Amino acid sequence: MTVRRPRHPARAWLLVWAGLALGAQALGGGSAERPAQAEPFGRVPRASADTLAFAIEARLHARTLQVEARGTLRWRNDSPVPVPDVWLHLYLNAFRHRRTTFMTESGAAHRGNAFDERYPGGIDLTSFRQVLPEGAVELVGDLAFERPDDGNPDDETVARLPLREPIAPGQTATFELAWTARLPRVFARTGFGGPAAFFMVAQWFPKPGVWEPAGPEGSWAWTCHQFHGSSEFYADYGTYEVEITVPQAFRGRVGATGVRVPFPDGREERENPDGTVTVRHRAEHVHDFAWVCGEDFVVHTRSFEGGAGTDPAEQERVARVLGLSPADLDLPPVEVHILLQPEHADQLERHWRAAAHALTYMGFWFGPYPYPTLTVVDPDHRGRDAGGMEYPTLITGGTGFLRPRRQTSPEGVIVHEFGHQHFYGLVGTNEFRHAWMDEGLTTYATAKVLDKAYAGWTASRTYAGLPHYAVPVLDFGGIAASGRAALPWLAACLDGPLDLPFGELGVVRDLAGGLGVRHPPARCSLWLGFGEVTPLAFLREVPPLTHLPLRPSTAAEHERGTYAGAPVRDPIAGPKAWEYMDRRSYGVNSYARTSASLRVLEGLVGEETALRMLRRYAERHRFGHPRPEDFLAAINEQAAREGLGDLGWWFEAFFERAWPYDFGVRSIETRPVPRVASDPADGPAPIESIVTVERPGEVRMPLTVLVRFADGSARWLRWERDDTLASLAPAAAGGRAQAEPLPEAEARFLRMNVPVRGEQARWIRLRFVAPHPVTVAEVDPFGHFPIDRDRLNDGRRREPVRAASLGVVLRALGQVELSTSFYGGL
Amino acid sequence: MERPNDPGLTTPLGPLPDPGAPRPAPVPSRRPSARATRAAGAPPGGPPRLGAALRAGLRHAGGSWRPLLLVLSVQLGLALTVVAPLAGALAEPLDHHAHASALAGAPDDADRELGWEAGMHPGVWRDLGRQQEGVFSALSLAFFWVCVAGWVFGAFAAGGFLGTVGSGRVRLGAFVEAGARRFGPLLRVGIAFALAYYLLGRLVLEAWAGSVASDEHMAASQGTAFWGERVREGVMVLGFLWLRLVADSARAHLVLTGRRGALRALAAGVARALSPRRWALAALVGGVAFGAIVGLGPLSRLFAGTGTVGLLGTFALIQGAVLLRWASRAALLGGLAALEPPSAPRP
Repeated sequence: MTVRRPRHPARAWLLVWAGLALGAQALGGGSAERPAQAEPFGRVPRASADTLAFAIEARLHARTLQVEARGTLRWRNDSPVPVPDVWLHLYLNAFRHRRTTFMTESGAAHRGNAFDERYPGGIDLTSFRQVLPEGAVELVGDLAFERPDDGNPDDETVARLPLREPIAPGQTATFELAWTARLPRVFARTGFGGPAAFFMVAQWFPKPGVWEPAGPEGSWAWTCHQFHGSSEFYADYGTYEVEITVPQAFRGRVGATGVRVPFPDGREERENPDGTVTVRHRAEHVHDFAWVCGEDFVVHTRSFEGGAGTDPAEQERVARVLGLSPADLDLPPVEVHILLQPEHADQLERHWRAAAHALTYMGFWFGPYPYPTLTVVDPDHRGRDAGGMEYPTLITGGTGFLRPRRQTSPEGVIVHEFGHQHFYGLVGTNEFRHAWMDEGLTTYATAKVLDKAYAGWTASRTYAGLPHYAVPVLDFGGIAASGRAALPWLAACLDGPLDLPFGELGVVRDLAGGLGVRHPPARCSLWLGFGEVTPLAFLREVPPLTHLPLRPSTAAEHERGTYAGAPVRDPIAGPKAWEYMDRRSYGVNSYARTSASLRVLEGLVGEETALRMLRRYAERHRFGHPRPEDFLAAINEQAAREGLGDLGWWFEAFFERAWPYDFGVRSIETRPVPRVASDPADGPAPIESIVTVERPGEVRMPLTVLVRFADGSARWLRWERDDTLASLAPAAAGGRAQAEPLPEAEARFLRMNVPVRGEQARWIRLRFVAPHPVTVAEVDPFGHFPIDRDRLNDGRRREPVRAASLGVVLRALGQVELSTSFYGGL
Repeated sequence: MERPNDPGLTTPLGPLPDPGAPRPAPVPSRRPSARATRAAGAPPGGPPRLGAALRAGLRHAGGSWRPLLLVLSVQLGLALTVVAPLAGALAEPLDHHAHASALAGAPDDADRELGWEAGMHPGVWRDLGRQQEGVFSALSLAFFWVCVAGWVFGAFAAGGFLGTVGSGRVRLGAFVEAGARRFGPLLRVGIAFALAYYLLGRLVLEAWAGSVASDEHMAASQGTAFWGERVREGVMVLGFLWLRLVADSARAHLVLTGRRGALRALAAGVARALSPRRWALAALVGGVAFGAIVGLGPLSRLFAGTGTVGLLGTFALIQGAVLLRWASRAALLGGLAALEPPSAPRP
């Protein structure tokens, strides 16, 4: 590590003073106490107890793909113990080479994008000086890389700098830093795209870790994780003031965390003699800072007026649920900047509405978004891996060309990343240790917004870039494309040994050059290298006639699709982000299963109570660093207030255990009850129906069972976790009404004399004797527990409806017949 | 089995019948039929007009209703080899589903009370796919081979349709015999077509796309890559349709001249497929038929949830679509035969 002197000492000192002033201002109010106990709802903290203040000057060198920066950091020790060193995140070092922890865990690929070794990233800390009364002391020579998570000697994403003098409790320390950040080709949301036309500058500065209690004995330590293949954030709140200098080409096309601060002369941009442009951004009560610039951005600014947002009815409903007046939920105004690619101009309204819906609903449900700005970035398609990411007050979406409306994209990603402003931004959990606490809660909130504001996601197939909203019954890609699967031996023969160095042949190069083609394909196999030509597939199968239209899928159902087919290998809570079996398990558990488990909570306690529980949690831990036990405590506190008892069993079953959830109806059997002499002669014989309900999954749940009889009457029961049976009020209560225990004799008759087994068994058999047979039996009829692994077994009908399968089969018949006819014409 | 091409036993009208054998159905001769067809609309000494060729083709399709029904039966039989096992696999989980009526498109009050609407539920469909994964993947593989069989059968059917051009009401025996007689050469034309399409695909989707795709993806606008793909798809579709016209023209040439060389026929087909008349004929017949088939799609939604009548109606629509596709093929081949220039039949 080389130590460099600042190039402009005078400016450096100015920066120090700016930092000191900023720090004094930002940290001055830091002692404000958070509400110890949030009795009523609505008292949402508007500001954090900031721990740090960071003033930074950053200059983008587009040609060298570097950001040269320096800054002044002030950090306050809020702990009762002295701090001997400073730990910093140097996350760009994850992209130095393929042996870093990030690369090892991710396989040097992210969302299908491979790491481009020609353009590695990195961060060189050239100076780190502790400002002491006797003068500043350079510490960078003592820098040591730490590997607290895996001991990987090739990982340099965490640095420790021993201090010349420890920071005493309550003392604020000042440091002067200088560093150079080298940006990779966009990878894992950071870097440049295109020929230096787009820069997503994230994870770009030395960010302090979190000094926090570390054990039961009252000890404190730095929590500063290495950069891992999954998870990105855990840092402390603070104020950032950043001057960003970019080449002229990016003038007016810079977005950043926080608010644009004018220069003393009132201008928002400062033109520099060297042709560059400088802007200033300030952000308070945030735990990260990112910025972006792109030559092609078209910048739109809209005002979210606040007040009732876009849905006064929902405001009234939520106010009633929380026991507040609607005015209490009035939302503050927000200036929304949308940095859109010009070819997506037709999607401006979609971006705006998605952001407005998210601001509105999440503001009502979890507390208002407290920042005055929100920047929504549509990344350059050459840097699409920068999409789908959250930074404080700045989110990146991502869309495509001519994106169909019924697939809620880009809406889904915008709502999701905005959701992180609440669960990551405002409730600052440790994503590395408890990924579900931000990804899962955000996924849950996203789904609720999408269900509220949009009609649902509709399955489709794309032909010539245009969607057709139906799916083929049989997955067939045409003779040419399916040949590989049908003739694997032939494909294997033609793939390998006959692979030709096509692009290396002189004649090919000459011919290609003559035609103006610069890059003829390097290799050429004899087997088809191209897939199906979609317009020809349309001609072949005539989708409007032969494909099966599906109902729009709810967001909950859509997310269920991500995990229902996979076995559960890990619990949601417990493993750190890198401790799940694989990245799929991390994703399934942190995102979809957490969201589904929160829906289970809704199903158990009701949507309104669940809302109060989550509001309680979000309010209490705004600008804090809650842990899973804090989450459960907030849930249980609200449960206790509403007389619902301890929900620890729910948390254990769904979060702490790798248990699948599945209930089903196994069979319905009916038979006439044999007559005996004492029966009255007239009237039909009663029918005995036996319904068997089973529990293939591990989770035990109070389960609603609905039984319908041939005369249209119905019986609602609940099979409790202790194996007892209770009677439920019918559907008017949505199946959540209080259950009443059945009289013992009736229960014994219903259970066919199988005794109560103490805890919900694997099955229960129910006997009904009535004038009419049971026609349908169903569990969880309202679908309150969408975490269900298998929806096919949720209910059963005694008499089949042939049209259900024949309708599908006829579509398949058409698909095959028209396909054979198509090929018959060739 | 084809009869030996013995000059002593073969006449320009076809092989001599075996005196001892039962008299086969009369197979219309090639040249007279083509001439007769052309005579209806051909200007004296010149090629026939498009309208005349179209009328001849439509007349041929109309007169071929028996072969068309046979072809339809074969298509149905082929499809059932895939679909029958599927029906068996889907019956239990779907028909006994608690909300089977809603899945069938006719939700009852109980379905609506619980939020089940008409149509296939995406979660049920997904779970079904997972539960029956083995069935679906096996059937997709079977689908491939059924399509190969359909392609082979297509060579037979093309011979049947072309061999009976101009014979008015086509009898099944004549269709089968004509199809069988020219099956080999026409199949070779089909293979040549497949090879040509393979080369076209390699040229357009590999060589061309491979050369420009990286540049397109690095262009400032995402639309560049999008439209680049669309242009190549368009070229593929046009190329495919043109190759198909080449192949059909070659088939007409083969059957009407009695030649057997697929490659020479293809060469003749290439020359013929440059003719705007043939393009227009193919576009008219194919376009109208395809438009009508697509139009049946929305019509099929009318039957959703109407029980047995709906199922029968949907079945009828699908068979109608298949029939339409083959009728248009018969019409196209008949029209191409009418456009075939007079030439001396092979001795």
